[in-house]
Amino acid sequence: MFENMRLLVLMVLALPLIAALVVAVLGSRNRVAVRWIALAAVLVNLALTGVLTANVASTLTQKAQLSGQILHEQTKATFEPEAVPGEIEPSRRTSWNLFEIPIPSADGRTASIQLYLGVDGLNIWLILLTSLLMVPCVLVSWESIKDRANEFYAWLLLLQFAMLGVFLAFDIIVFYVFFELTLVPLFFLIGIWGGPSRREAARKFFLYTLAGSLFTLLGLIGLVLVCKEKSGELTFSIPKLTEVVQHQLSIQDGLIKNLNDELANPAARTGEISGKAKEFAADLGSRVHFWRTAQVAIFLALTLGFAIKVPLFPLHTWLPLAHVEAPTAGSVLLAGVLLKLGSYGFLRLCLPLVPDASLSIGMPLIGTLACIGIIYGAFCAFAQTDIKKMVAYSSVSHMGFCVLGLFALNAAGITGSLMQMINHGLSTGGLFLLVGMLYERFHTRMMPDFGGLAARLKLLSLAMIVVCLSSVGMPFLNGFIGEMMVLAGVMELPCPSCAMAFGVVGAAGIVLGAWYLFTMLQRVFFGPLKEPHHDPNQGPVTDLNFREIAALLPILAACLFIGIYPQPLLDAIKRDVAVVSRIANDARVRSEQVEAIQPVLDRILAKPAESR
Amino acid sequence: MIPLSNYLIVGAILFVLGMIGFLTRRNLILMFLSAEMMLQGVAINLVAFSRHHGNLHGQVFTLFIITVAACESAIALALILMLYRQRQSLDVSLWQDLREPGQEPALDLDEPPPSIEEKLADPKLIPAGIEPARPREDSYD
Amino acid sequence: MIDNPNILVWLIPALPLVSAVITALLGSRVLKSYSHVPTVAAAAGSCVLSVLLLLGLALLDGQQSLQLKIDGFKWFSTHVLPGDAPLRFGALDIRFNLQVDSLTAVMLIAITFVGTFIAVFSSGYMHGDPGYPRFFAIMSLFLFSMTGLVLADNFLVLYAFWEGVGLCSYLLVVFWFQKPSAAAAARKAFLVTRLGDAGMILGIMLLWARFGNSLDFDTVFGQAALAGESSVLTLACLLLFCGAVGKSAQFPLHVWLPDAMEGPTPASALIHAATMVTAGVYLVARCSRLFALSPTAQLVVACIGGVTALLGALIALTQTDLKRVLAYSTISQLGYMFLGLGAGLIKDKLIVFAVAAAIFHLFTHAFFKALLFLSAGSVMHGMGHVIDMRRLGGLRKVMPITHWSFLCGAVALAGLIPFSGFWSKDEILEAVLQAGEHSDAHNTVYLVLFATALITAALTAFYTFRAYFKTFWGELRIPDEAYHHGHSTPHDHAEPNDHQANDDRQKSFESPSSMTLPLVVLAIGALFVGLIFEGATHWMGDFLAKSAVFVQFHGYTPEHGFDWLMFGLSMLCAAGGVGLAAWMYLVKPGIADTVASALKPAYNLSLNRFWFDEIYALLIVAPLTLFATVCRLFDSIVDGIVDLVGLLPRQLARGLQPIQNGLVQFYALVTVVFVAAFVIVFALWIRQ
Repeated sequence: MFENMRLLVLMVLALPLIAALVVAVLGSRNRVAVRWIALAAVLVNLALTGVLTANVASTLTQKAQLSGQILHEQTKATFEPEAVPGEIEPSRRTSWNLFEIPIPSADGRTASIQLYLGVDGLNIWLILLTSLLMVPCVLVSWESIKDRANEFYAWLLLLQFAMLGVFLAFDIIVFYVFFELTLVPLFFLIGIWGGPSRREAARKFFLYTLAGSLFTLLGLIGLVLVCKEKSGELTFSIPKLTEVVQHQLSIQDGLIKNLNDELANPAARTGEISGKAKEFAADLGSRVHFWRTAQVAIFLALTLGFAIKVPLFPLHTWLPLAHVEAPTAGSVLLAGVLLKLGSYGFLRLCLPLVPDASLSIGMPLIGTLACIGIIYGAFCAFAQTDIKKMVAYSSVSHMGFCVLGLFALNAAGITGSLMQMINHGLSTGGLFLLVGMLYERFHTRMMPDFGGLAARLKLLSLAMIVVCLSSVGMPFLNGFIGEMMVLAGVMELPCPSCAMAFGVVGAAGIVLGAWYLFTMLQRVFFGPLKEPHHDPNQGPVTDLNFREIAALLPILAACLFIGIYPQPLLDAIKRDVAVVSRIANDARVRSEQVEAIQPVLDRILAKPAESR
Repeated sequence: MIPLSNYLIVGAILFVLGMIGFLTRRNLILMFLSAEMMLQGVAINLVAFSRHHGNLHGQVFTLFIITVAACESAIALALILMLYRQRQSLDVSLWQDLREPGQEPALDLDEPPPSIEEKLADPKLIPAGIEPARPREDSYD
Repeated sequence: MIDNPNILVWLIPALPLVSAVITALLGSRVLKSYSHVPTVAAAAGSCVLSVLLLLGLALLDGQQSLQLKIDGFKWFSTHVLPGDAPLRFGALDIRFNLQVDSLTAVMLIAITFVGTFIAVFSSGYMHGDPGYPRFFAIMSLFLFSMTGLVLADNFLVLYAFWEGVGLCSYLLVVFWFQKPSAAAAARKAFLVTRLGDAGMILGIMLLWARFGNSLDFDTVFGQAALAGESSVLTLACLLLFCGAVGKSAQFPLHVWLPDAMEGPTPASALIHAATMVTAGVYLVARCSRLFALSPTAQLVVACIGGVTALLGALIALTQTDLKRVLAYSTISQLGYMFLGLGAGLIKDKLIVFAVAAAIFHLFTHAFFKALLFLSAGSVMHGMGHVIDMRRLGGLRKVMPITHWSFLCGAVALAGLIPFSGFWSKDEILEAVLQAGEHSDAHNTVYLVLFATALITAALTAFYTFRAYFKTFWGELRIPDEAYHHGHSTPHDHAEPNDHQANDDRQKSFESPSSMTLPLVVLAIGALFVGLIFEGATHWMGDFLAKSAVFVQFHGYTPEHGFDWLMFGLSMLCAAGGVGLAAWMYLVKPGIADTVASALKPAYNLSLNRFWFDEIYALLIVAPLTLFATVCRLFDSIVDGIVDLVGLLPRQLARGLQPIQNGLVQFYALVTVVFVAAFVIVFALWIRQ
């Protein structure tokens, strides 16, 4: 059974790539064949992903119940991906080397970049989300993409390949390669099939995110080198790196303990500081200094790329442009999945690998930016007249929520944030789909052109209302769960005034979200019927057809399911959330200890200088 | 026994001659020949060192160079032929299309490049020392 | 039935939910004009079950608190792992449990009983509307949410249903979505209440974070009681109260309720008068154990209640739209309830009596206000959807049943003895007076509030009867729409469908029996529930005192007797109000205009609702919109900076452009020069 899962991971990843190649080769004349093949590919992939996630979810749930002691045990917490293709070894390597680096590691083996794929609690639902959103993407492009359809679907499928690759990767380099690879298909999707100023949008999107992710690469390399420097082991595996970092930081914890013990010695009370204490202090001082500097530098480098991808407040301007110009399928994937690459990067790399910096500068800096983004994005969304642009800005606001939850650095916040990633993918994906359907009918997206559409397009309006409700966090729809958990996480921050401030911003975001979405509903769907001028030859505008309903239904069903019964999802993710929150918790404890011991340290380390 | 340095000097002279030829001649075929001459200079060096060290490594390299140069010349001459068919001239200054947009083409005032004219015959290699006959034009763009 | 009450309790919200799903799925295809059947059946079923539940609770012996806890399923939990984790952060662990105590039971009766008859009424009122199935689907959904709200046993589930009723309110206000005013009103209602809800969810999360990482009522209350009074607790209470202020349309968030009258009248009766708006009162009552720990929060509740009561009454004095009068009256009466809740703390002890009085007023109010709204709906139905009192008059002759039912509601609302409103209002007055006499700190405030409440009582009687006289007495005035609109609907089988009968001024405009039957039932309720449940028996107070909320608060119960002074004062106010209304609108009909012109500024202030909408538009909406525009402009600046960064390398490159001249030999030369330079430098470096 488990072997099958390993195979399935590879199939899930490879199928879009193969389908992309097939579709590309078919040529632009076989438009009908091309889209049926694409549809078949995404449906089969959805089925495979469904089987995979269902199986892994049950394994993860069992594992979470069995390994209740993970938070107690002395071994350091790290990710343990399931269904890893290739043989997984205890040293957290797989046997599938992509590229060997001729530097022998501590255990005498050469380090190598590996095809290390796997599924764990952090990525399992994101993988399913990616596969799920592909179905509406193909369906919504069915009629609207007329020229070069084969290329379009090929890029779309390649994009799916890249996105799945990012989520599945457990090797830092493979992660980065896929992370960058997502840019290429989307660049072409926007640049070829986009709106009037698609080229500018594609260029800006590409360059902006590329510029950011180069810093991320720098950070990743820096991280690998720092770990090599300190532990003597060159590795690119994320679980292994997490372990190494944890181990290194725990040495620091041990030193603090030793120093305290030494100082508590009766001998030390006389005022004399023993040589041992000095030794400990010197070691500790250098370690603290090293890790603080290194972590801050790595954190900032990693953050820049992820923050642009999310996008956080001052770095968001590529997003509205890209969204407005992108074809509907591109927008759906951009909002639904690609933005999550940023927050997922924070979760997978920043929090576990540079926990101290995530705590010391991540929470104040990124948290504040996220807060500004929540409010600012909402206000910008309100001021838009283009519905698609409004939805794009609402993404800025909602993703701010995601990031805020992450940097609350506790279980509730992280779980909420992870759920919010899924929820935002579903609800914003749905919004973009519906806006695309409106555009296909009327060839405009300007709110003033519309009015009272509920009378004409009953099903579309109903779907829009449901998706808006899910987006504003109506209970029993998906948004609610995530928002509540994020708010809870934020309110639990140790500093009461920060908790209150962040909480107020979060709550304000909830109100503002309702403000712009309901204003849009009022203007576009309610009131007297007002249709934009459209070609009279095409006859009256019709309501959703079967294909469009089929595109929307999976999203709406998922929204409802998550809203009513989210526990299976939460059960699957909780083990790995526990890992991350334990790491964050350790960082909190460590920062307090370091702060407490800093004066002592300064005193001890200053003494020799004076005596000299 | 002729010392190593003599060989090297010959090789260097060949190389520099070739280089100067490549940089100054405007005839594509002559440029190509100059490039070949540079290769020969390098080959002499390799052979000389091969003898100096008493092994065959350099000889092997030289054999490779000769082979590669043969292939190269086939391709290069074919390319030159194609270029000639487009412009009916072997003047390299007719091919400046890779310059930045908005940039004026470089123009040798003493010797302006030929105008392009219908001319179907393949070019002939003229005897050395005699200036090639070619159509003259007042201006080009 | 109390042997296995679990299923019974689950059925109370489940029946409307099932009905909502059935109506939504089958309504427009299968059920069509029978779409009301599932809703009426479900509401009636829930009502019967609620009555059984109430009886079951009431018949249980003993003085101990009565609470049923029904275990449900785990909704969601961020509980990371089994076993207590040594993390210092707790988990959000939400179980979908229900609880029933006397407070819930009383609320359930009010919701389902009134709901049932309003559903019956709607089947007549909404007949022939194209959205007939939609109306009943939302109505059922509302009943589900509302019953769920009062059955919830933790804050988050309560909040979920709280949002659910808000959503149903939105959907019902926007029911006739072609009307721009309805669309605007719905949005306003949703956003204003959501403003309060944001405060509420903050309060809930604050409670969760600070009091034991749990959201179960019992745990939170217990933890808070252990922690004692603190500023965090006061803050949490005030934030919770924000939610109540929004939902129950209290000052300063009361502005949405009058606009919400754009919805169909039965919806107004159910949601915006009888049940949803009282959710805030229920919330504060449910959290009495929290509010009891914070005198400040109590005082704020009382003050907001008092101010709202007076404000609502003052505005209601001059409104010309019958439904608006009733809406402001609702605001005012809800203020009354909060006044009662706010008076529930004397000498650090929770006064069960005060909270019970508020809930009792809620209960009676549900009956008589629903009745008044339905009567107004009946008037609208007969008069072709005209509700402007200036265009109506003397309707008692043409709509006798509606007239009598409105009168019943009016006497109950005015608080004339021995009708319902009197008993509940009297208790609240008494509670406030008690607080004024015995409270340690804020005596004066409570005494002022008592005076305010008395004035409000008089005003209430006045505006109620003003509306009554203007609509049902005087000369007969029937708007033209009545002839075209009201009777062209196909359900008036009782009468000949006579379009040409414009001159037939004396014909009956009475509504069909499906509408008058609920009126009669509710009228009986409005007249007598007060007397039966409290006035004669004190049953309600005793029953509510057994609620789990008050389990630890039997400390201080003031004497429960009949206070003659209070009776005199309140009767004087009510009778004075009624008398004045009769004199001004019945005996000397011209005098109202004289008074209005004499008190021009005051009259305008009231007529224009103290300009609240205008002030909010100017002070809040306009700045926010402006800020949004500023944000949009600022965004282009941010984008401009990005473009500027992009421009930098482009300008740099422009300087290097001439190098790319396309000459092969030039490129070769550059290569040669640099290789030569490199070789020379390298050779020199080697030599060193």
